[in-house]
Amino acid sequence: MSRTVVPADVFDPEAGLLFGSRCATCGAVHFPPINGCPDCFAASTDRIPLSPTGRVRSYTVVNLGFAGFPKGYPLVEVELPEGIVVLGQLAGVHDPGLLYSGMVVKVEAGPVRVAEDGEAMDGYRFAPVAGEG
Amino acid sequence: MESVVVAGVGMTDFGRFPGRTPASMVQEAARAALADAGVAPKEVEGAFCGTVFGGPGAGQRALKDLGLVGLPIVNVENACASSSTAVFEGVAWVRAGLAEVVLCVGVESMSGIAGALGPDEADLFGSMGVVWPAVYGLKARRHMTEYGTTPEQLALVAVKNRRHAAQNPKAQFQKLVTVEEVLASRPVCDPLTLLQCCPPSDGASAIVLMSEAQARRLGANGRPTVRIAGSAMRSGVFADQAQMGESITALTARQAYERAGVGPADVDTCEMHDAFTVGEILHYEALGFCKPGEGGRYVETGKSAIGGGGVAVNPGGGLLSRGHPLGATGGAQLAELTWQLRGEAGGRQVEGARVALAHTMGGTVYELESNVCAVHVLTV
Repeated sequence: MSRTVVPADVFDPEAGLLFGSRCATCGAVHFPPINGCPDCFAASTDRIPLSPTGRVRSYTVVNLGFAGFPKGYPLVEVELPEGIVVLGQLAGVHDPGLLYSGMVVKVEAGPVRVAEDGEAMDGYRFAPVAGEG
Repeated sequence: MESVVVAGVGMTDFGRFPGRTPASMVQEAARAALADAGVAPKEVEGAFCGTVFGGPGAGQRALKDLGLVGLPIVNVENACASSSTAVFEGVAWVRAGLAEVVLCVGVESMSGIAGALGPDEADLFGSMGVVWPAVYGLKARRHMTEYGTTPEQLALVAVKNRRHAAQNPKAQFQKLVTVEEVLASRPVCDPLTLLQCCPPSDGASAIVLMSEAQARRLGANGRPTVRIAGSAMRSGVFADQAQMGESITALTARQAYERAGVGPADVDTCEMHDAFTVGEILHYEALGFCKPGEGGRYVETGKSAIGGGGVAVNPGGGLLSRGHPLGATGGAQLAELTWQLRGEAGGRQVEGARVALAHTMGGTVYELESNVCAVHVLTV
């Protein structure tokens, strides 16, 4: 089993779900989940699954990244229906000409980088939803 | 708010100097600033040192050989705005009466760094491969989608700032470039190409601040007296909240304008955070130099160039061409504006400049829009 770069409370790779937090007192939602509420100062929040699909708001292709990342990976800024914006790599699209704002994508588990020892490291990423957008 | 006098400024050349220690660069910049102010080391009553990678005790290590010992020395880390923050603090100390003369230095040695920089790789952003040029690539694409900003308009920022830097002997890059060369340079983070990204640099800057009373005692040397008329600094709010309201730059600038008693229309020249070309376009808008969405046109019509009829932006070359030694950048911006307001900027002089604005951004912790924005308004 490969290692993961995303904390377990943020992403469940088997369910393919990202998690945020919702304040039981004021209802504010944050990603990644926060224990206390920064909006109303309540001491506790509930961990909630976020919608798995969202729309691309902006995109880029990273040609000069950190060590261990693939060459020329697309990175997307995705707005989820909750109003949360999540950044992540986009799987399966390498031609920037095929990227567009408004594209519908779904979160999934997959390798995002390679560790110093050569082992693939998993995280969350996005993939286009066929026939949508 | 009582103004504080910028009594002296200094900086090293910016570039790649792998043999130089941060301490030696600070000493060169500080000697220049103290000489410019006509102040002896013994007269300095407090010092601040801005650096990101300089390590613990950077200020004490660098300043001891100038005889700057015994006084309070504070090391400041606030990402790319570290020395802007050092000056913000120095101004507060002078106003509070804690010191009559304060030395603010900034330094970075980056020639050992390869590849892109980004947020902490332990942050969720960083662990997903979000580097700084990607953050700005995303901003650029959004501006293009929303307002029709073009790749050529982005490239014109780099062309203009290089043209300004060609007249600045301390700038890292002084060779003119064309729009075609900028667009044809290596893709970094689409739509940003290599010549639209600031370089990692080595260098130091130094600013001597002084109370009005002390400046009167020393006399003005026959030169115009440059003052910091208003300063403001903010940290970023949550990114999702920021999208619904005004940007950190707009909010910080408003506070600085109010404190200085001026508005955007009064600004003659500005040094702003152009770490990537799109940043300059966004900041024209947030600082009030043009309306939202019109930043691309502002540079395209030449308004932000020296002598272009608008605010002359980044007369020293900006981060793009002067270079960006993180901790030294804020001080270098203030040094440039001081030379401009004194009329000492040579071939890049903004004629008749009376009001100048320095704007620096710095870093981001995941979930926040930014770690810091600092704005200083200078007048003469």
